[in-house]
Formats: sequence, C-alpha cells, structure tokens
Amino acid sequence: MKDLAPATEFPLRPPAQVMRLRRMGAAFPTRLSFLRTLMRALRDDHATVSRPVWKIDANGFGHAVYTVELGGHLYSLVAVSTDLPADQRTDRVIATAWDTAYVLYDGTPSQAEIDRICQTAPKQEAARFTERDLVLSRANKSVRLFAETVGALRAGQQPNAARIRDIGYLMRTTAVYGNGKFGIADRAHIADRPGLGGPFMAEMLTVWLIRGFTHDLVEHIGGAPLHRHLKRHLGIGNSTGLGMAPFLVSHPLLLDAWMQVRETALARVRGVEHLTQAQIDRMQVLVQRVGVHLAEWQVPDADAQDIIDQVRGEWAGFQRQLNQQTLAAPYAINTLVEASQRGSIDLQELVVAFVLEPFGDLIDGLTECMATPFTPQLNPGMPLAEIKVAVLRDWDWALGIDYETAEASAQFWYVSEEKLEPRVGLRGTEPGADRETPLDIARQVRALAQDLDKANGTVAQFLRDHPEHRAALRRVQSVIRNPYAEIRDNLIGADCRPIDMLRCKLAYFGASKFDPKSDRWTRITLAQGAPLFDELDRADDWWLPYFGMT
Amino acid sequence: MVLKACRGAGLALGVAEDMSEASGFMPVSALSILADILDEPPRHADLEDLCATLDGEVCGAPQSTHKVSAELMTAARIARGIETGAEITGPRDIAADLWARLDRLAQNTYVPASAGSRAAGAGAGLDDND
Repeated sequence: MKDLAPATEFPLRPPAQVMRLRRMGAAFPTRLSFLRTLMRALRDDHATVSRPVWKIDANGFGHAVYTVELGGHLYSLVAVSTDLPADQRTDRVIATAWDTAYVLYDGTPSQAEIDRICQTAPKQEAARFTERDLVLSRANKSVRLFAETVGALRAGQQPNAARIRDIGYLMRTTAVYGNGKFGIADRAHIADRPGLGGPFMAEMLTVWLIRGFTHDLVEHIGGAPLHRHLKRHLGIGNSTGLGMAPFLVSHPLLLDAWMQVRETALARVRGVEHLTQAQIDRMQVLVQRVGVHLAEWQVPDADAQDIIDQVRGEWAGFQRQLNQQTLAAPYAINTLVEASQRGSIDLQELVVAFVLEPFGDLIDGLTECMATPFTPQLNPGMPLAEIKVAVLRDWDWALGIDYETAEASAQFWYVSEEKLEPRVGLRGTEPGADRETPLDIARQVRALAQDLDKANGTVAQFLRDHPEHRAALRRVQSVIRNPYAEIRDNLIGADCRPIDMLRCKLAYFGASKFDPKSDRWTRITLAQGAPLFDELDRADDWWLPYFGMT
Repeated sequence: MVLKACRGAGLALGVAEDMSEASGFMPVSALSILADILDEPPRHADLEDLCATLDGEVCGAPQSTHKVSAELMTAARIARGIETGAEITGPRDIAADLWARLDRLAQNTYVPASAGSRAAGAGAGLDDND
C-alpha cells in the first residue's frame, strides 16, 4: 500500500494533550479503526461469505456455519443457538448461559469439529478449546428488539423503523475472546496471515460474521426477509465493562502504536495544502451526515446525552463554516482543526475523526503500523541522569499529586475471584485493596522519583538497590521512545472514570453509539452501517452512518 | 498465569514481569523450578538477583553462572535478547500439580467475591438484560 507524505509535515499533537483520560474518553471511530481496516481487506480480496451449514429449527435453535476466505485462508464462524430461559439472561461476565455462542474456526470444520464446538461453545469459559479455535464469543438477544422483529416478520410486515433506528442491533456480544484464552489459538498463530495481522482483526471478523448471523436468524424465525436498509442499520451491540480497561495499561507499546498512527494521520491531513474538488465535495456530504448521526444518537444516561446534545449544537456551528471558500483555502484542514480548539474536547475529537475520513489514499497505509509485537524492554545501561530528565518531562503531572490523600487514592483496581473479572473498588469502604492490581502507575512513578532524587550512576546500579522500582522505571524508559505509551492521569484517583479507557479502545475497534450505563461500563454498537455479506464491493463509506443512508 | 503467580508470591512487580516474559521461553522443567522458588520466600531474592545479573550482561558484563538453575537463566537470557532462542508456542503439557501450585499463588491476587463487589465493582447492576 502506498504511503505518501505531503510536503508539509505538521507536528503531532503532544502526548500531554492526547493521553488524558478526558480526551481519550471522547474518542470517535475513524477510518483507521480496526473494523474499517478489515472491511477494506475483505473488499480488496474480493471475499465472499458462504453458509455451508444451516441447522436451525423453526424456533431459532441449532447451529450454523459461515465460511469466508481472506488472504488465502478459510475461516468459519460456527454459531450455536440455544434456548435460554429469560431469567438466566444477563450480559454480565459472570453469566453462565447465553442465547448464542460462537467460535471462529481456522478452516472449514468437519462434522466432528462442529459437534465439538456445539458442545463446548455454549459453556464458554467453563470449557477448553483448541488451536483451531481462533476466537470465542457469545451474544444475547436484545430483549427490546429481537422478539418484536420476529413478530413483525411473522405478521408479514417489516419491524417498526424507529425502533430499528433507535436500538440498532438484534443481539449484543458480551465477550469476544482471542489470543490464547481458554485454550484457543495464540495471536502469534495468525499474526502473519494477510488480512489478520492487524490488532483484533480476528475478533472483528467474528463480530461482523455474527452480525450477519443475527440477520439470518431473525429472518428464519420470522419467515420473511428484512429490508436491506434495516439490516444495514442493525449492527452488533456490545456490553463492555471493566474487563477491557486494564488492557491499555498492560499494553503500553500497542497503545503508543495506535495513537501514533492516528496522530500521524492527523498531522498529514493538516499538511495538505490544497484539497481537490472531490475532497471538498466529500467533506460537504460527510458534515451533513454527521449531523444526522448525532441526532440519532440518543442515550438514556442524562449526563452522556447532555454531552451529545452539546456536540450536536457545536457541530451545527462547525457545519456553517464549512463552505466552498473555506475548504478551497490553503491548509483548509489545519484551519478547521485549529478552529475546533475553541470548542469542547468532544467537538475537537469529532473533528479529528472527520478530517481523516476523506483521505484514505494518504493515511490508510499507516494502519500497518498499528500492530507491534514488542513489549517494553529495560535498558539497564541508561544513565540515571537521563531517567531524571524523562521523569520531569513526561511525568510532571504525576509528581505533584499526594497519593496519601483520600482524593488521590480513592479507587483501587482488583480482580475478583468470580470469573476473574476486573473490578474497581472504593478504598476504605470496600475490601480487597490489599490485593490491588498495580494500575496505580502514577503513584509508582512518584515513588520512583523520590528514590531517584539522591541516586546516581546507571539504571542497573539503581535497580540493584531498588528492585521495587523496576516496573516503574521500565515504564519511564518506554515513554522516552514511545511517547504515547502511558495514560497521563492518575488511575486510582477519585476523578478517574474507567469508561474513558473503554471508549478509547472501543473507538479504535470502530465502535459508535456509545451508550454509557455508569462510569464503569457502556453499551456500544459495532458494524452499524457496515456492508452486508453481499455488499463487500461497496465503497468503504460507512463512517458515522445514519438510518436509511444509501 | 506466571505473572499472577509471581505477584501472588510477593515478588516486586518488575521482577514478576521479567519472569513472565521469560516464561515464554521456559520448558516445563524450568517452570517447575520457578514454582519451587516462588514457594520459598527466602529464595525470592535470587530472582531479584537474576534480574540484576542479566542487567549487567545486557550492559556488556560477561555471562556468568547463577544460583538459579541454568534452564531458568537461559530462558531469562533469551527473553532479554542476550541469547537467541525460540518462544515455546502452543499448549505446554503442564502437570496438574504444577498448574495447581502456580494457580494457588495467583489466587493471592484475586479478591474474594461478595455480593457488594458483584453489585458495585464492575459498574453494572446484577442483570444487564434489555
């Protein structure tokens, strides 16, 4: 893929600005998001999806197999649908039964393999899987929409359009496991395969296939087809809780890679001196589309809805300045980005996603840099003087906090014995702080800084005397070469909202319609507006779609 | 699992992280030796010392022997890039009792569930179904 940089290179936005939870928590999906990248890979490979097995009974129970070829490899989604009593249905990680269960299988499964998966997939974490199983997932019906849609189809009608528009999915996945969990294949197994090398590609493929299955399932039980525009709008919902939050902290180099790609892309588009008329026209189309998308994005949480309403208002103003004249001026993108600085953080991040969208030729190639096999390595020969400089430069925000105060250590992260579910507790009132998960990075670095003060020599010498600072020191070193590796906020402070971490990661997945339920978990929709199985040749044009969009 | 077992045994986080990285290069016999050390707190200093020794080797000090087993040391050296070696991929045939020992240590990093934790800790209500 060509990777052309424009003549003028703008600087990247600094990590001190970008790596703040408030801004990370305002992230929007972009064309660089993983699901978008996957769709382009499927399109470019002329992939087709077939359904060699459909053993679903009239009530919607049984199993099915979908197969798709990507990069010369066949992958199959084995979908198992079982009769779940309503009172057992829950999206919590601690659930033990689900409406549907899935395995993304490496190849085409034999009958024996299908039988095995039909037995084990519904047990999820309680079962063990094999190296042929790439991804494990499960999904529950949307109680609001699933039965209603079936009912309408059975009555010879289409379901209520407003309900489809507002809810936007028939089922919600409640976990999508990859990379070695419960015996499934390690990521290394597929990381070199064309199309699947990027972060979470196998998981995204699984989610997209599940989405198609939910369409087929509802059409089957309902006995009639759903209109195409309704299906397009029906993505896959997802409930994301704290399980995902520690990932960003435990994968600093990966986080840095994702951020560097996005920020580099932003710097590139800002450096474009003159937009083509086609690009100008495209932006005019997109700016309208975003307005409609925002209007359709309605959530029950009042605070979250306030923010959406605010952005919608700001967007109307932003839209007004987007005319032929502004867009034809030199460095128009940069002007737009700078103007957005006067608005809210949410507007700023929306504008970032917006200005990336028309420039696929310029930036899509950067997505190849989003996967990194590397993990932080200690450089023991580094002089402490350099570490001290780095601490002052990169961690100044962490040094001034008094972690002894209730405010600064109000929360603690921990892993519950129950399903090994990451949780957050309130220090002092809830038990478990003695087994705190070490996500208190800022506090660790502060402790390191205090002992560094009087020390000299090299890292190796210092760590010989202070093995307790090894982890923090490695983090400080990582940031020197990977400036976006760390979240620059106190993750145990009263102000820390774990949902900001979730949203950041989910936006990179390609999720939209964030529907926060608390500070600690959110619903989202994935693949809303994405091509259906037979639409892969469609233009890569479904960023922030609206209902009924053609 | 190794990371959690090391943390659960009380190792400093950074040392636990190093052992976890090294475990990708450990045959089962080395994992067993690691588990032995973890079960004996006075020997934890050996692992800190191992990290420090390898820090020295990364800086150019000549390779030396160490009181931890050669197998463990080799794995750690490979993880640090001092020696070349292949990562051990795929499932390893870990005996049930070795797994149980590591798991027991890892359990020290988990907080027992409670009704309150279940209700409040993950943010969701008990149900989340609509």
